[in-house]
Order: sequence, then C-alpha cells, then structure tokens
Amino acid sequence: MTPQPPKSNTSATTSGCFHPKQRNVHYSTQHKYSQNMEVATTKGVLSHLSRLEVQKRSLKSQPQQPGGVKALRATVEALLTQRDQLRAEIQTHKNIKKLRVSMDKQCTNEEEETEEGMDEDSENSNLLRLMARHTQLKDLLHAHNVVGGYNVVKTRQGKGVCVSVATFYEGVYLNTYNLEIDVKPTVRISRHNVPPFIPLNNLAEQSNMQTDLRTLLDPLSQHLNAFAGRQQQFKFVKELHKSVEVMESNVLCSLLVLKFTVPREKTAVLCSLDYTDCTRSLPTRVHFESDDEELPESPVWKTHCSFLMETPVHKALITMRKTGNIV
Amino acid sequence: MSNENTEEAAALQAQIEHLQAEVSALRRQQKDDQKDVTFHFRGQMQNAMLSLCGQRQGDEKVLSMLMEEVEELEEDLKLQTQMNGISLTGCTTKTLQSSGRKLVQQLCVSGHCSELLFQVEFQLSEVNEASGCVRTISELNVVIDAGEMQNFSSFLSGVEESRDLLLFFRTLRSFSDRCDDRRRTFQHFQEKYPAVVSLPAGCRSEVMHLSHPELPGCVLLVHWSVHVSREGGVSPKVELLTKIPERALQLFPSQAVGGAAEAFQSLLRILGAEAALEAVIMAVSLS
Repeated sequence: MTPQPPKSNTSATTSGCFHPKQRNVHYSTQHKYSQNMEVATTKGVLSHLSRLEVQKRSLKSQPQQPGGVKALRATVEALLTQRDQLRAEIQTHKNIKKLRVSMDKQCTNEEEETEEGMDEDSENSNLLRLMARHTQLKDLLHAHNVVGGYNVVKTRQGKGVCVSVATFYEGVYLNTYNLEIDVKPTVRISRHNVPPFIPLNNLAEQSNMQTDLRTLLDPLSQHLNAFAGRQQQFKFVKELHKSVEVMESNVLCSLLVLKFTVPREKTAVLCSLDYTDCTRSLPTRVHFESDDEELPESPVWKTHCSFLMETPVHKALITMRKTGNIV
Repeated sequence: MSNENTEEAAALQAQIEHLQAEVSALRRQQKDDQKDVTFHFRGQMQNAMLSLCGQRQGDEKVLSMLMEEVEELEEDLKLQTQMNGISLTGCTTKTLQSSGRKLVQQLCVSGHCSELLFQVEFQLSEVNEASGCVRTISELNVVIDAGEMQNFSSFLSGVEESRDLLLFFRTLRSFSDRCDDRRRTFQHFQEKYPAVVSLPAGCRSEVMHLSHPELPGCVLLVHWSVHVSREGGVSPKVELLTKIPERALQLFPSQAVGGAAEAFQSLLRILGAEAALEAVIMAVSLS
C-alpha cells in the first residue's frame, strides 16, 4: 500500500527538486537555487553539485511540502474518524442481527424476552429494536410473496385493489397474472391480463367475491396453475422428445395428440391425452390407436395407459423411451 | 526542514498506512455483512444506522420516520395475511451465494393456517438472465402439525419431490377452508339441537354423534373427513355410520336403519351436506 499524499492545489510530486513545477511555485526552493548559483561561482561547481545532492536527498525523504506535516495530521484524523465510523456501523449491524435472532425465537417459541446485555441507553435500544423489527417485517413480506401470495396492493385511496396470481411448475416460477379490482361501490374486476380461455367471468359469478375475494382468487389460481403445468409439459415434450411427433395440441392445453413409434416393428401408435378437468394438470383420459388393433389391448400398453394418467407426460415419455417401448 | 518534522512526518505516514489497511479490511467486512439482503440497509434504515453510529443530529426525527415506515410495513403485513389466508410468524433467510447475476438464499418459513401449524425450508435462487429474472426453488422440506399427518403424507412427499411450494400452500388453505366448513356446521347443529347432537372430541374433530336422549345406546355417527389427494385435490367426504346394539336391530328389523348409510349418501347428493345432516338430525330427534 503506497502512501497517498493529501490532495493539494500544488500538485506535489515525490520525484525530486528539479521538477519544473516545484521550482516555479515554491519560493524558498527558488530562493535557494538563486543563492546556489551565486555560491557556485565562488566555491566551485563540485561543491555546488554536492549541495544540490544533499537538498535532493532531504526533499526525497520529505515527500510533502513544509506544510505537509499539518496535512498528514489531518489525514490521520480523517482516517481515524472513518475507521471508528466503520467499526460502529459493523457493531450496530451485529447488535441488530443478534436482536433479530432473539425476536425470531420469541415469535416461534414464545420464549421470554432476554436482554443480551447490551449497554445501549434506552433511546438507542428502542431504535435498535425498531430496526430489528423492520428487518423482520421485510422478511415476512418477502415470504408472503415467495410462497405464492396475492401481493395485494390498495389503490385509489381504498377504492380499488391490485392483485397478482403467481404460477409455478416443477420448481420454477412462471408467469404472473394481474387483476385490477374495484372495491367500491361493488367488487368488480376492471382490468386483467388473464388469457381468454380461462373462464374468469364464470369463476367470478360462482364466487363470493363481494364478501371474500379469495373465493374468486383461489379457484382462479387453481385454473392458472393447472394451465401453466400443462403448458410446461407440452413444451418439454417438444423440447426433450424429438422422436415423438406432436400431432395436435390447443391453446388451452386441454388436448394433446402424440405419435409414437414402436422400435422393432416400426408401428405407429397415436396417443390422445384429454385434459377435460381444467383444474388439473394430469389427463382425464388416455387413448391409444394403432393399425395393429391388438396393441392397445396388450398388457404393456395398458400399463402405459395408467402410467400416463398418473405421471406428467414429459416424464412418462422418459421412462417409456428408456424401457425401449417407444423410440 | 527540521529533523523533528521529518521524524514526525515519517511516523504519521506509517500511521496513515496502518489506518488505511484497517479501513480497507473493515470495508471488506461490511461488504460481506451486507451480502445478506435482509441486512443491506437503505432509506430510513440507513438513516437510522448513521444516526446510531455518528451523526447524532436529528435523532428524534430519525426515530419517528423509521417508526412511520415500520407501521406501514405492519399494515401491509396485516393486509397480506388477510388476503392470503395464511399467517406467517417467522422467516429466516441465509444468503448462500450472492454475485452480480445470481442470488441463492436458504429460507425457513413458519406459521399457521387457521389451526394448522407448518414449517417449510427451501432454497430460492434468483438468476438475472437476458429474458428477465428467473426464480427457482430447490430442496423443499415441509413439516406440518403432527395431528394432520395421515391426511397429508402422500401429498407432502409428492410436493417435496416436485418442489411445488405454491401448491403446498394452495392445498393447505383449501384443506383449512374445508375443515372450517365442517367446524362451523358441527357447531351450528350442536347449538341448534343440543339434546341430540354431541361432539365428544370437540368441534374440530371429524366426528359428530347423533342420538335421541331416550335411546342412548343407539347412535348415528357422522364421519366428515377431508381427503387430500397426491395431486393436491381437496375433497370432503361425509359418511353416516350407525352404532346400534344387536338386540335393537333384532327387535326392530328395519331396512331404514340397516340401509341408513347408503340412504344418507343419496340425500347428500340431492341436498348437500348441511341440509342432509339436518334431515338426519330431525329424523333422530323424532320430531
């Protein structure tokens, strides 16, 4: 770590006494130089040179100007303040963390409050407690969001609310759908980005949304998540199973027709998956069709049928291909 | 240039170097502390921190402004709790990885949904990609109140495998709502027909006893269970069971009594749970 001289207007350098700038600005050095010139003529060039050499060495060991010690002292003060500030911040951080830990324990175990022996005066400890509570509230609000909460926000001075419905499948957060809802005079959906094939109006009519908004949002969430699940499954089938041809699918993802190829005989099997229950992401009916009329009735394919009824299709296909039943 | 000046300058230089090293080390430590998103303070929290550590001016103002912000957060939490139908009592986070593009945290969330206690632990990753921020969950671990375990075991193992944190909460809420339906109905009938209806295991139990006060040995049991499928489908199932002593059956062989269970299922389909139960209670009270 090289020492940094304090910044000053006279851009001092540590290079030595023959720097032109130095010579121009510092009278005393200048003065000495003109004196030296006089001396040189009387006492000889060699002694003049040796005097300049001594000057150069003394300037080098004091890289600052003569006002430099004051500047150094100021630097030290500034650094001390900085260091103490940082130490205080780090300690406060620690204290808040400790307080938070004991607050968390209180909430879950209903333990008695224990003072951790902090020497703060009461005003400080109030502030610390408040800060710890702040971090706790932020975490709890974050948790509400993460576990799929509706993120309700009041709008227009309480005349409306905004909610968002999160969708999720196999560990990944997917699209969020938003609704703007009027609350006064009656509860009414004013704007939304729910896709049209989701029966939002039906769900609203069947719900008790005038008294409990959740009677609309819970079924809506169920529909949207089931749809997201089916949509992801169809996407994975296309991406992971290129040997399986997707013959037909629809926007609501309630129908999927696949063409399998049986390895040895190279027979084609058409597989239709109906998802008539839109609140689920598993099929309600699986049907096989083949030129070989006996095939769908065989025990192997009966097993495939029930397997596809219980397992997400992209996963079922992995197993079916591994066991060599389809290509 | 005096020698003392030079000595002092040298000493000060040395002190400066030492202090700069200390300050750098402290800054590194602070940066480390702030990697935990929860403890990276901004806004009012930052003001409060500074007020505690150095700038002592405006102390009161800082406290009241932070108080205001904390009150807003408390209100918000109440609102989310009410709208989401779950009460979160604890959330601890541990930052496992924090770089420019990726944040990985370990979260432990505990709370209750009506009377059902739960605790979930999982890893949450947030990665900034070109298409936006991608959030994923891994290593989900779910624990719920021991009493309800039988109902939930198959569902819970499925949910942990598919890491479907959101499905867990949707299902938990649904289950809790159906249990609340049952409790309200049982309580309603106990209050309306106290002579006939009893709840020996309390209003949160699955069983309601119906018997006429003059025939204590003959009991009709209403078994109302809430079933949770592996997929997260919540379905209530109401059954009528008869507990009638052999002798009574022999004395009064009656299709009506013997076939009560099936007859009740038909009633259920036609009238729905509450009305069907009321019909049975009226029959038992022989009024």
